[in-house]
Amino acid sequence: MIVTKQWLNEWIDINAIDTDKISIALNAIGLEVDGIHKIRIPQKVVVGHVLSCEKHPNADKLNVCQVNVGESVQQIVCGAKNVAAGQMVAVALIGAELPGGLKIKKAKLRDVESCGMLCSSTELGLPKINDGIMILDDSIGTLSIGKELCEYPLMNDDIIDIGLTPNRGDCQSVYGIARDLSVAFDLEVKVLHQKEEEENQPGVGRVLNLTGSEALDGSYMYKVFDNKEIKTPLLIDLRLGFAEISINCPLGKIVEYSTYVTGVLLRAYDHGCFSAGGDKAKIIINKDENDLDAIFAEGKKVGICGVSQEETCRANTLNTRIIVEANYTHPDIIAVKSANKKLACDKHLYRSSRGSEPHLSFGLNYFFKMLSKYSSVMIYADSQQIMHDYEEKAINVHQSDLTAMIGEEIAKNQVIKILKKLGFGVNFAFEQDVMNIKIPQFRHDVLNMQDICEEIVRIVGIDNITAKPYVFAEKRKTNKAYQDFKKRQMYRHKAVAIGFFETLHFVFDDKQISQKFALPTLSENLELANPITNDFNTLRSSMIPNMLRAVSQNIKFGRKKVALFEVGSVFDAKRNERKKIGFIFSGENALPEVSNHGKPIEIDFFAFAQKIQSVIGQFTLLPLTSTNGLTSPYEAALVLIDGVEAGYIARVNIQIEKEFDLARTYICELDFATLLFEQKVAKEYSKFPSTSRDISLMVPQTMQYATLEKFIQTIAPKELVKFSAIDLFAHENFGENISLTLKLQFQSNEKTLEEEDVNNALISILSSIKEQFGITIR
Amino acid sequence: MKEIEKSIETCVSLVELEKIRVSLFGKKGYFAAQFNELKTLEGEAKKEFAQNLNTNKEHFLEILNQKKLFLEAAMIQEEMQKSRVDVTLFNQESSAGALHPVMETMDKIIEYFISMNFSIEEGPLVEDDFHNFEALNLPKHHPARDMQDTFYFNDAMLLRTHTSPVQIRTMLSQQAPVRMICPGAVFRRDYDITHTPMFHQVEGLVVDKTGKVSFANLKFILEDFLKYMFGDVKVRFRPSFFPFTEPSAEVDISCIFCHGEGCRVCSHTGWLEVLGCGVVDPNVFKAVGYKDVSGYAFGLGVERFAMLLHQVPDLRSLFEGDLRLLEQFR
Repeated sequence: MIVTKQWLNEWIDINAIDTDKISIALNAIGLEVDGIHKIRIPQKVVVGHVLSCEKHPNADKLNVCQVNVGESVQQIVCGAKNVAAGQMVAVALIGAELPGGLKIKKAKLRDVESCGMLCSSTELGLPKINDGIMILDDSIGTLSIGKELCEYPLMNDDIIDIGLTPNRGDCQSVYGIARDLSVAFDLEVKVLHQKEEEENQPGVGRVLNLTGSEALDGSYMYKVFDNKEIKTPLLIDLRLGFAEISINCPLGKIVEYSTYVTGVLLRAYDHGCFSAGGDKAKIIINKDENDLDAIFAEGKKVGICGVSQEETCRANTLNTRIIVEANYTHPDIIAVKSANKKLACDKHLYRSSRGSEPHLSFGLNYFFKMLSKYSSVMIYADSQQIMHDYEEKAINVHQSDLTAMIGEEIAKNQVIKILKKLGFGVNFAFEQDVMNIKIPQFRHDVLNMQDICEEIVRIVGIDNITAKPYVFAEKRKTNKAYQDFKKRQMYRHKAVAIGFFETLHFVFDDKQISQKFALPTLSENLELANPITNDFNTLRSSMIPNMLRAVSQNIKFGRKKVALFEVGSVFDAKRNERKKIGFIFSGENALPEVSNHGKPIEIDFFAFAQKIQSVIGQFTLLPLTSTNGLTSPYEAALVLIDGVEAGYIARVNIQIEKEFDLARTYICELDFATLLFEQKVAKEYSKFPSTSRDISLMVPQTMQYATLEKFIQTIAPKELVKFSAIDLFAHENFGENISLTLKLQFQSNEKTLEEEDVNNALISILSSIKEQFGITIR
Repeated sequence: MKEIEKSIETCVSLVELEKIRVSLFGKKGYFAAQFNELKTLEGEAKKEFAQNLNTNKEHFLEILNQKKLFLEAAMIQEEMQKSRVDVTLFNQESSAGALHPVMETMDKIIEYFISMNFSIEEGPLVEDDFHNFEALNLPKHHPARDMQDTFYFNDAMLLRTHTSPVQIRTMLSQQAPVRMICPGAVFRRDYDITHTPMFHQVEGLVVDKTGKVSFANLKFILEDFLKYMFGDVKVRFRPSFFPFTEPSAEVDISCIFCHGEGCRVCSHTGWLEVLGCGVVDPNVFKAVGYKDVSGYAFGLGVERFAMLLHQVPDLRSLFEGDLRLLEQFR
């Protein structure tokens, strides 16, 4: 909602108050100021009178004007089409500097001297109001030739842009904002004065017949006038420009201007639409097929109250007789009945569904005041109306209720004063110590005691309420969500220490791409109905595609090593949400530095798995046969944490590496719930030294290490405390076999093992292996 | 003997020194021979010879030992010297990763409320109309729903537009008093320079018996919280509107960049809007079946806080996984 200081000043006397103070007050009472724009016409731009206007001898499109600028008459060449003798215009004199930076100098235009410039509104920093130069009139103040325009306050206005919250329908007008602001500054709102209707005017009953069904939701008031000539003054054009409203029809401008000022919904209809050539128009208001109040002419629907108006019946300046309607319907009715109907609507719906001004005669009177001030019209006396009864709501409030909500006592007489100024009726019953508060019709948003409390708080000012700590009973708050938070924090910190960067991606993905990667996607009936773009048209079932794109971007920027991780939500085909942790590592295993001679080796499966293990703790890997389309089937493993399937570790399918321009890349995605977050329990440990032996076995190339590993675990003598594979060595002489080196560690809880004990244990292991698999030492 | 003494003195290796030692004290060495000779002597001569011999022997043991200690120390020096490094070659680029600034900011916010004895509560991202709107005093067709452009699914479920549905879930499953925060992702159908379709909020709710929790309490905790987050800032409350609170307010802090003088970041107002809050609307309590209670609620955008704290100018850059940004937070 855009207002200006001078515009507000028509309703409350705020001329003397600094605009910044007005802004602070508006903010303080809950009308947020989004911006202030001060318009200042530069000096040496004066009111001029065009004495004559003749064609330029050497240019078709130029005119040579003699312009009285007060102290002298200046010759000015002007290119505007609308310039004519007799006009009052804005003249930038020699030496003036216009907002665009243009400096006015004496000039020759095609051999004709020009001493100044006739200005358009935009050249002076004002909104665009017409094509060509701006024609001045008395609406901006009495014009006196030669007077500088910067001395006309109505032109040098401060524009205030207010961001209205949707509950404040009552502030959708200049008047409404003035009414609210009047309370902050303790000012009186001015009353609209209107002329008494003359006795000899014909009554509206001669030209209008209004009927309506009984079930109507809204209230309606109609007046009629005969049109001779309708004109709008400069001030209305300027202010509609300030408010960023663009209308061409002068009648439309006055209608819109009156609605904008008063908040009353106004429409103008062509009388002829309703009269079928006769003198008397018949307006019928009935329910339409959507149960909304509609206006009918000759059996045809020509408008829906608060929603739309048929273009064919909208009045324009050519119509000789014009009907003006003011209407009001409770916003909740409009909002509910018009929702989801996909009705064609105009600007009225925005106002009507948030609450327009119910004081209909106020809007009509203002309209006719503006109309008759600048136009030549004959207004019929009286009005015709259908009024919906307003049931006045009242709320009983004890002062102690307010004190409990606010946490501080606001004096009773202050409360009453604030409410009265805001337009509420207040009766105070001394015996019961209760305030009976009557809610005005324009405050449909006030329904209960809390709303009343809000009115008090916003006028008193929240900053004026003392902050007090809340006193509460002690209660332990370490619930599951807290544990999850600590667990997430621990794993995230570990990942960072190992060299992974945390990323954050939208939980959206491109469905086509998900399907291409053979990832689960939402079934159609659960799919997003209104995605924002195709890239985000479904929920992700894996974090990896987003992370792959991030890696790809980083590699494009010249990175040789990219390590990322993310903890977030993914969704399965049934749209069940799960928390996952994803890791991705691409390119070089380390940074180039002196210790690796500037040539760090590329990441490989085992180095990657080792990094993952450093983050999430111990796990076992099993070969994974079926995976999604993201992975290479030859370097993919199922991750088991404590025997539970947690996710996978794999190399990215080389096809995808190529598509994304990736270096060698490994990924890991795990169910976050499977990661452990438990106390570690200390086991008994040996106090005696351990001995280790490396042995190389000739194993078949096809044999999985896990088979051998499991077997050794089952037959291991108690002295074998640990073993692991440390080397693989292939040679052409080995045939179908490969040399696998194991490191075995022996230790006893009872004694220091002798050479002989170790040898016996080793021999027993080797002979079992030989017996089971026929595998021998190399 | 002088020559031997000299050779010990000039000896430069432990091996050489050992040879000299053997030549003196070995089975076939000088002293063995001397002691043999002793046997051939008698009386005073023997006594004198023996005395000389012992003095000599002790003398040589002493200088050999001294030399040995010296050479050992020299060797260690040499060994250390060999592995000397130019410490300035150290690669200052860390190989550690970094937490995401938004997540790290979220942690910081959560830590504050934990320390103030709030519990953490969580809820699903896919919500229904009741929890996201209806129970929060946003009935269907309420114009305030326009404030939050919503992602819907084909089955009329939606992506939560705020963390407030977790308030409803918590109150439906717990009895008052409630003192909770809910951190998490939320979604609005909006994508431009200052909006992303997903962002993060932290929501707070305190509910207790009627009269125990007031607006003044809300002011206290938010003023304290904002000082914890941003240091010594001024805090300003402006009345505003949220369907689920009444009275409602927006909270500004004095601009942390220009200290209220007015700059580009604060649009020359001197203030930065950081929070929304209010006293819980009675319709919300009605929806969850709470009776005779009062409470306050607040909500904040984590990205906004992270951008202010870390001076990240572009919201969208936070979601791009770009290391040029992320590695600055190492």
